[in-house]
This record gives sequence, structure tokens and C-alpha cells, in this order.
Amino acid sequence: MKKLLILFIFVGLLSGNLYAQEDIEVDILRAPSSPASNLLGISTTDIDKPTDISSFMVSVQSASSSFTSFPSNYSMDFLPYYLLANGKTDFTTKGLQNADFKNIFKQTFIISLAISNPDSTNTSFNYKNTYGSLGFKFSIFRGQYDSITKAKLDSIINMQDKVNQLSNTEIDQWLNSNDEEYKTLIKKREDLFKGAITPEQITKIKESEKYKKIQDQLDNKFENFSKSDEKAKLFDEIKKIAAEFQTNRIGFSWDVNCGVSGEFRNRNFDNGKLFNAGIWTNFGYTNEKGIAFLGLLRYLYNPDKILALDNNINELENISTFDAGARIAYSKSQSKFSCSIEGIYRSVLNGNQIDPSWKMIFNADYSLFKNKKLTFSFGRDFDGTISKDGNLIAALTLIAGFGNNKISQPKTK
Amino acid sequence: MKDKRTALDTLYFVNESNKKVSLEIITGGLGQTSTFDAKIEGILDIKKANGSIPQTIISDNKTLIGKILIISCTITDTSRDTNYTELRIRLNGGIMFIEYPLFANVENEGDTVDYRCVIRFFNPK
Repeated sequence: MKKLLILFIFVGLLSGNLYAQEDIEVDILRAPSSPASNLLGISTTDIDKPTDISSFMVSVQSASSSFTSFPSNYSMDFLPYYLLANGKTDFTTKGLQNADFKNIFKQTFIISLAISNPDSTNTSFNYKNTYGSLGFKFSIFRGQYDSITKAKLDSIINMQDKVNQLSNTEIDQWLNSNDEEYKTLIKKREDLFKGAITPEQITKIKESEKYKKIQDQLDNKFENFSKSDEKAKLFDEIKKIAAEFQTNRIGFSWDVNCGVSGEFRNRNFDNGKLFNAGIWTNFGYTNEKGIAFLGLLRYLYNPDKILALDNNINELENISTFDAGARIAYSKSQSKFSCSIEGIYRSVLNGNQIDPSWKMIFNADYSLFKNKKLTFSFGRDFDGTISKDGNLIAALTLIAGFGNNKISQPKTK
Repeated sequence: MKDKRTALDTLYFVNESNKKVSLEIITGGLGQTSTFDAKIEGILDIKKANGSIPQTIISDNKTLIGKILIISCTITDTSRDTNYTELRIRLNGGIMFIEYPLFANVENEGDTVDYRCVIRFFNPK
């Protein structure tokens, strides 16, 4: 448990560091594809649809009180290969179309963390305790961009190519400039390095004030060097397509998830135990119309589960469950709206005193603004029929994603 | 630190050896769309490339003396995750490894940044 706590602190610091960066944008909402929140039952769906993921995402949920109290559930996903790999993998829309497993793994591998402080209405958890979980997820197949996504990308690329042709002409003009100041700066810079034949000598000159002054003047001059008016028109044309652009995937998808969670009694991190652990897989097919047919197979291990038996003393037992589920989801390409319905049947692999159970839930979500997304869930939870006789769960959840801006410190110039 | 760098005129240091020089071009960030041309007269002519190119040998030190690498790159904000765009050029095999980072944040969704780069292969001897 202490290791889990240390990891939480580490990731908390990492996320704090990311968020503290000067130019962090808060600009996207997408449902978290978080195995950690699945494990604690705080995700909006159990069966995930394949999507391109955020480099860093935080989800904040109120429990059952629909924003009348401070949020009690938090989850965080991050993409280690993007944040730490220093450009080794192509994460542009071109790279995200790679279909080989090595690239798919690096681009979809997520580490997720979740914390839940359940309230007294939640029958699956003890409201006096805090629950924390750690999960991992990666895709084996993720489908490909649909025809609308590809067509929009092709249009953008064709216009970008026209911009590059204009840039090529501008660079030719720059190189052949008769500007005396430009020629003098180029000559002065080369003179500075004459005789410097080792990396150490070159580095020393590059760090000198004399060099920095010349280079700054050249940089500013080139940055402000004339640009074709046609570029502005092309930028406007590109923006018409790119401003509302979203990637949408079709075809076969298959991902693998696993995770472990802990229960901290009386919210004391020195008094924790394993709450549950599991491994599961999502798979399915999404067609061109935006309809996805998805399946779930999941094994969960719940140690020391308290069984409230009729006319007998309560017993502690290690329970293993196997879930099989299906989901039909609809989201039209480039649309802000999506909805789905999912059903999961839970078999208990050991423990004859517990009956199988099931869950059925309807979800809808709509992107409200640039960084706000409203999701609506309505259905019957696993424990609904067991303890509350078909109790309905309904929740409005606001999900916020924090895009990450990576600003690289120039290593050398 | 500058808040953006979209134009670059700089030097890469080579000598008279036959050692191979390699080029790597990385564009980003996550979910952005990029297209670039890269050219060294008589040696390299990459047109309408998308995304990034891995480390690629372009020529040897001796042949590159006095040549100019020209890169025109356009990156559009197609990501709803970030407004950050970047172009990183890495040259290796000359007197020393150098990475040239260029970057800019777009103001609005769907904006485009044009990067213009000139790298002169210079023998300081």
C-alpha cells in the first residue's frame, strides 16, 4: 500500500509540474479511457470505445450529489511515451495512423490513477474509507481513421504544401538578399567560429555574448522577413477545416486493461489493504456510420469481501468474478454528441452464496464548449437489485481534460 | 526564453572527414498535422512529407561543406488536446550533435504556423 501511495504522490507531483507550466492549455474534454476509474466503478462506461487519447487528462466527478458538494472522485490518465520519450515516436495525425503493434502500443499505453471518497449512498464501498487505484491500458488494434477524417486531413495537407512552396520562395529570397546588414551578420558569425574544431571550442563560442547578440539579430531579421499575402488566405482556408476537426476511427479495435486498487480505512494511508484487482479486455468493430459494437471480458478478484448472510454470522471470503458485456455506441464523425447503451453480466466464480448479477446503463454526452463536456448516465448497477431492489443510478458528470504543452528548452543553436 | 521561434538561420559544423551525417526531423505536438519539404541542393530533396522522419543518413562531412539545408514546414492545430506546435531538427555525425528546436503556440483552434529554416554546413577550420 505504501508503494501505491508513493506512486500517487509521484504522479501528483508530475501533474502539478505539468499544470504549473506557463502555457498549459485547458482545451479538451473527452471521456477518460481510464482503467483505474473502471476498477473503482467511477467511470461513465465500463466498455471503452477506441479514441485518440490525451497526453494528460484529469477527470473530476461528484459522486451522487450532482455538484451540490465538493467533487469526491478524481482520476488521472497520462501517456508516458509522449511525455517522456523525447520525440522517439510520431504523435502527429500521420504517426497516429500507424498500424504496427510497436507504434500502437507506444501511442496508446496509458497509466491511470483514481481516488474515490464514496458517500453513504454508495453500497459497494464503505463511506468512511478512501479508495485509490492504479491501472494500465494499451491497444493491440485501434482501427483506422474514417473516410471523412482522411479526406479532411488530405485537404489540410494539400493546402500546407502550397504554404511550403511559398516558404521555399521566401527562403530563396532570404538567401539571395542584398541587404548589407544581413551579409555582415552572416560573415561576422562565421568569423567567430574560425579555428574552432572541437565540440568544446564550438560550445564555448555559442555560449558567448558576442555570438548570442549576432544570432539574435539574425533570428529577428529572419522571423520578420517578408511573407507572402497568399499565406494568410491559405491559413484561413485551412482553419475552416481544422477548427472543428476531430479524429474518428473505424474498423476492429482491441485493448487490454489491468489494475489494482487499495482501500484505506478511515482515510488513513497507514491503514490500507488490497481492495480489488483485475484484468480485462475490450474489443469490437466500428462502422462508417459511427455505430460501434463492442464487447468486454473481465476478471476481478475481491479479497476479504464481507458477505451479509441471512440468519448467519457475516463471513469474509475472497471473491472472484467474471464479467461478460456488450455495448452499442453511436457517435457520428465530427459530431459533438455521442450515446451508448451497455449491459454486463457478472458471474461469481467462487462463493456459492452470491448470485450472479447484471448491469445495464445508458450514456449520452455532448461537448458544451471548448473545454467542457456534459455526460449523462442512467441505468441499473450491479448492486442495484441485490441491496436496493432495482435502485436506479443517475449521474451528471463533468469531465475536464488538460492538454499538455511541451516547451522544449533549446539545447543548442 | 522566447515564447516562439518559427524561423531559423544557423550553422552546422562539419569537417573534411568522410564520416556520415544524419538528419532527423520531428514535428508535433500530439494530434497536430504537419507537412514539410527538406532540401540540400544535389543531395537531398524531400517533398510533401508528413509527420516526422527518423534518423536518415544524408551524406558525408566533406561533401556537405558549404551546402545549405532548407526546411519549409507547416503545422496546423488539428488537436483538441493542445495548441502547441513544434519542429525539431536533429543533425548528427558532424563535429557535434545539435538539435534545433522551433516551436509556437497557436491562439485559436485550427490555426496554422509556418516554419522556415536555413542550416548552413560550415567547416570552421
